[in-house]
Amino acid sequence: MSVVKFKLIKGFGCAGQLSKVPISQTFLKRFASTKNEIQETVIVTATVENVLSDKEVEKICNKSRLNSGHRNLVNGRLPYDHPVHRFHNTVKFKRRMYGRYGDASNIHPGLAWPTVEELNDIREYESVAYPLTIQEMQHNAIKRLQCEQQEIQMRQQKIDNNMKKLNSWINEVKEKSEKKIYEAQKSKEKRENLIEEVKKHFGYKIDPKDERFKEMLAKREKEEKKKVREEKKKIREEKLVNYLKNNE
Amino acid sequence: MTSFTNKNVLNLLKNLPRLTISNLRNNDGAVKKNKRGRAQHGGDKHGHGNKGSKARQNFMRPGYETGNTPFYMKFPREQYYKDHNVKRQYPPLSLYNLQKMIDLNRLDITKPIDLSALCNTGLYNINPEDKHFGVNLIDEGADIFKAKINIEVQWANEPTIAAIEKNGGVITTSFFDINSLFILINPKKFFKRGEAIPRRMIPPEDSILYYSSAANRGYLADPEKISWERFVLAQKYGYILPKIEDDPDYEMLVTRKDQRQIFYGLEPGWVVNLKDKVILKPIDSQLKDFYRS
Repeated sequence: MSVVKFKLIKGFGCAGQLSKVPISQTFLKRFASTKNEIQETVIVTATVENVLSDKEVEKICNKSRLNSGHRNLVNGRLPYDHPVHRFHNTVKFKRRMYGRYGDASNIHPGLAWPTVEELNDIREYESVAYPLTIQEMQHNAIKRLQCEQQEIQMRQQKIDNNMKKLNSWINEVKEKSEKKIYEAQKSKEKRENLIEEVKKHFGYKIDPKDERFKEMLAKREKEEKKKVREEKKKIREEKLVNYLKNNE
Repeated sequence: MTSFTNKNVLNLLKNLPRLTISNLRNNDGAVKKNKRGRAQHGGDKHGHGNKGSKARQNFMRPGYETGNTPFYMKFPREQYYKDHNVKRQYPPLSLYNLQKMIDLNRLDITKPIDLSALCNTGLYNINPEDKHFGVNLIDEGADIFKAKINIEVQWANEPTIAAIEKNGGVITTSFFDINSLFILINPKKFFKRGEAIPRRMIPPEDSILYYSSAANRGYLADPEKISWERFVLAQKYGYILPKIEDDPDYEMLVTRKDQRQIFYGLEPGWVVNLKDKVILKPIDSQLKDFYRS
């Protein structure tokens, strides 16, 4: 049987009721006073029979204001002994509870491993994510490396070969350009000669833009072309004659 | 010389106003008012003209040429940083710092050292979310490195390997996939999840040659080839290779993880419970086969 004692002190008990005087003032007044009087106290003893169960006593003693789950967490116990939220029924949560609280969580540790279905899922995932074995990957990697090196080598070989031909190519280009310049000069000279001849024909200085000059020039050119054609014809005839002679 | 005998002057001084905070005023121009007046107080265009992009202050991003092909996109160029956002990273740790950790008892060299031990020092950490795939042990401080260790790193160059093997140590480069990395850098967190330890997955194809090369001491390399490469490296760097077989710590030095193993001494498929201090192993033949494959 437990005895609960209450100690009542006069004066303090009423302090809260004197609302017209601020509570701080009452204290200050007492602190400032020089009278060292001790106020009378009355001790009231009351006995109560212990009718409360241990659980109820514990409930009264719990002044933490935490909810039960949090209070359990703080004290290192399993937060909930039965599922409260929907996610408390998930395998993930149960595994976690076992991982944290061990056998005290009342969870079968067999949950830690995947089931047959999950195993199949994992296998399927792995067959997609890691389709090749290590040996196959090594083989592929080596092959790719060799291909790259071969490509580099082929290109270098090509460059080497071309470098050998470079001088001859440069000469070719030079010759070509020289020939072009030479031909251009030749045709220019030819035309100049033609103009000179036309001028001689007229016997005086004539403007090359003049109509008569142009006509004459065209005529001369025509003659020249005719000449060339005739020469060509001659050569052809000679050839034919030679051919016939040889055949006879 | 003036004297202070003149009481009038003293009285005057006494009656003059004192220098107080209430007598003080800011210097002219010390306080600037908000220049942008509103409405009739000068609120008009504020130097930004009438309408258009300039009045609205829509500043273009750098390089933008209002619809033209920007200059920086006009010409083809070699992208030096191409794919930098998907490349694997290995945050470095120098041999100098490793030696310091050992000297200050942050690392226990009587046991094999792996990423887990390095992260446990509190001096080195990686974040797999930032594509960190482990530690790159660099050769800074190779000359002063003196410890005999069995270390497992994710990347190491030749001088680093030489520095460790010169002191009679062993180094292995091994790959951990991202899930294994999360488990490895914080094992306690993983054990609290109450799951079975998964298998370590194989490296990707672009790094398979690195991890299967004996010259890099890869974990997939042939051990015989590794011992040959150890000898070759000793010849190259000009040191006498200490014999591991005669070493008193032989057992520690030859400890290596299996290519499917994440922790030393713990096999895939086991469940570790820190609360009860027990290890649970699967009995089911299917599970056994799965975790062994």
